[in-house]
Amino acid sequence: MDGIHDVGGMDSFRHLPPDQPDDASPFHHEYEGVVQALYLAGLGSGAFELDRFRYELEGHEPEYYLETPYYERWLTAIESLFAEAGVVDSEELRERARALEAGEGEVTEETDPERLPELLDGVRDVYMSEREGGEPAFSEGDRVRVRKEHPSSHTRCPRYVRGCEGEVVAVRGTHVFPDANAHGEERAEPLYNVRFESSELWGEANTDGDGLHIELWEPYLSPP
Amino acid sequence: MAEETPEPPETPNPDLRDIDPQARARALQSILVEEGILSTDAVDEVISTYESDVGPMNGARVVARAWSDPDYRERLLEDGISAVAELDIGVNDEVMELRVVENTPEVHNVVVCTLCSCYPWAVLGLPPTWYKSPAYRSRVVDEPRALLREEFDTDLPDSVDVEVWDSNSEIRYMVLPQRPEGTEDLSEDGLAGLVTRNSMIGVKRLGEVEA
Repeated sequence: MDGIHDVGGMDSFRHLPPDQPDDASPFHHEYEGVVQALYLAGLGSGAFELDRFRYELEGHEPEYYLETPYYERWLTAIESLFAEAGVVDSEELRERARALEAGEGEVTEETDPERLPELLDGVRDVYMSEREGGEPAFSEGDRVRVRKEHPSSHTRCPRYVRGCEGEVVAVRGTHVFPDANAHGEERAEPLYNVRFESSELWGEANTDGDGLHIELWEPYLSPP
Repeated sequence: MAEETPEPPETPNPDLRDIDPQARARALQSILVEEGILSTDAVDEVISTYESDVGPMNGARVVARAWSDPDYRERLLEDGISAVAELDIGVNDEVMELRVVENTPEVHNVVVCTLCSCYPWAVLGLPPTWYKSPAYRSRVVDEPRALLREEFDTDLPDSVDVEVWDSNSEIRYMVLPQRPEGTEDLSEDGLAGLVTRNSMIGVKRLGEVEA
């Protein structure tokens, strides 16, 4: 989808947030680490797929996406997906959260040392996206053009490469196709690393880079 | 409670968004613990792992080994995560596919995820806030030199090509920085101490501005 997440090449975001020391905690508030754990619980238990999670974030209204802290957006997506999976009831979640906010509820505590290793096994399976699949149509060195498609569903083909011509520099095997996987269909498609001249993407006058590499699945590509 | 105002359907869980995220996170945690999907110790361990066990120091060890051992460097460039797993830093080689891209005197590499925040967790930990920001993700693909110069004081000479890697699939990228001059006598541990997170993302070059 052409959502607010697809920011490559946009102007006027101005300065970066300040850098952090290498040994700083990645979490700035206590809840952020909890959200990281909730995310792993969702993926690892199979409550939702990685691509479905990304699609959920992409669907947030642009104003909310830009103005809300990263882990808070994640939390909003995770809540929706656990509700969609039937694991939690939104109404109950709301009541519990309101109670905790008011200092009235209790956080349920239970120890189970087996839980994390099991979840991490599930998470690993999600991230290992390579599958058996058909023969790739393109080879290293082939020129390819990215199809000019603007699906309103999930895609990992960013806008800035669409319509542009590049060169296949590596064939990466066949990997789960996010565009289908986000919508409940797991199938594998050949994946390529494609290099574009920066001038092809942006126009000579508008870039100071030389080349850009990105992974593109076969359905995104056509002969030049 | 008078919170029953109808909301437009495109806004999911609107009532939850108004609640403090700390309370929301702990409420969801509680339900998942009761459902047997999560446990309290699992949450604590995830937090402490990302706070202290994984982080750029792991990537730094990998880089130092690659600088010290040419055969290891070859293996690292061939199959990143298997080479990382060799160093006994608590990753198994099935955790992700990692590609290591090498800086040379002619080419400088820089990594981004324009669509979200994909990052090589196993070797660098969780990404810094700036890496996830639209400001970085939007600009590094079309104006990498200006961004590196203005935001990181990394002024690349014209003789060095800039190659940007947008990691939009489950394949993750890490930069192998160039070994700084004058480090011939350093031990592997000493070398690892020179390697910074930002040099492995590719927004810094070692030995010019940092070391």
